[in-house]
Amino acid sequence: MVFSTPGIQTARCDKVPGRRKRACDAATITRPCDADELKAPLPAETQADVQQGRFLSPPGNDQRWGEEMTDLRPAPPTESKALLRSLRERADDCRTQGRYERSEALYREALALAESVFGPDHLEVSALLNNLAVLYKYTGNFDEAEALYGRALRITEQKLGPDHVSVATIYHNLGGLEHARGRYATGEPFARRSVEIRERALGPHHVDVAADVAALAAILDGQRKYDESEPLYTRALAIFRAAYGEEHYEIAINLNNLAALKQARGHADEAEQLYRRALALKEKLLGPEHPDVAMTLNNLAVLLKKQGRHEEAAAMYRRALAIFEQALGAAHPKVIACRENYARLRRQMKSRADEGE
Amino acid sequence: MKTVYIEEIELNVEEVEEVIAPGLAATNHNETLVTDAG
Repeated sequence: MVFSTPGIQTARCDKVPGRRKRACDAATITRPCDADELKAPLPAETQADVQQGRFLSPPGNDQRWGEEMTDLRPAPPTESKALLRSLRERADDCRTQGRYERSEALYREALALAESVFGPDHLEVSALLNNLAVLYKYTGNFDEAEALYGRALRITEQKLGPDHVSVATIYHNLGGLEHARGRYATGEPFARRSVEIRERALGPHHVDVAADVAALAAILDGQRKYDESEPLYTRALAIFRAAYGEEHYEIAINLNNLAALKQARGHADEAEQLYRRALALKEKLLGPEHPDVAMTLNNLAVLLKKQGRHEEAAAMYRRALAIFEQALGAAHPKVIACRENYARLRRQMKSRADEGE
Repeated sequence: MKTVYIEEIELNVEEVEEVIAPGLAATNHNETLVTDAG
């Protein structure tokens, strides 16, 4: 049994192989001590050590104890932790719902709180840096996202080691950032690294591995490596279906991507079916005004235009643009791409109309 | 000052992480946006 002295943070977690560092960083347990010692106030020099985050040598020169003591920062107040958790959850929800401005404000507030309570190099901070960077990818703030991922990666590798699944998550996201920038070849090593780390840790059939595989597939797809990409999408979808059934966000995203791949390979009918399934699923799961809905509307419009179904395509572009501009603003790369697609269609429609006159 | 004690071996790491250090759960999605090449 171990007594806890308030204000001193460390952990023992011998029973959880592979999670030891993380638990040591997280838990609030202290050195063994007897009941009389607990009744006494902390010695002044100990309090000073705690306040300044200095290492406190244990009584009895216990080497194992010394190895496990990592941080003597005062334990964060319960209220701060609860507030932080609430902020993080609300920020994540807003990001998922496409309410990006609100999400950013909440992440910023949570980050400032986490840095003040835990210090700048804590895993709580790196988690928020990562999540805010994900948001910045979606809002098109790519340089800011890259800087935040870099800081999160440094903290996470330092605290958890280079082969931890949280490190895999940051590599996954760095690959995604390069995907969003259109720098697919740059993103490919990051994506491969995330698959490698997580597959080793969790096995080949885990849904998180499937997410890494799907992300890699998109990066290969962007480089027109269709022969490698398509079976990866198929593999990821099979894992997602087995775990989640047919109605899940991961299914919707990957149906959209598989449709785009089929479209690129000239399989228009199959692509249209997949797009329509993705669109229906997104509308049901995310609501009709979510920017992810606009992604599939845009893609389907490109397909329909190629088939000469211009009026249908135009209606889809108009709807996609309205959603995009509302959610992302006029200057976002996705909005620009969609607007240019629509402009090209309108030019073609006008040209045909002129020819018919 | 309040004193608490914890069974050392009973430490539930998952719960502790969930409350204090949430881990890096958020991954982005690389969704394809098709551009019309003409």
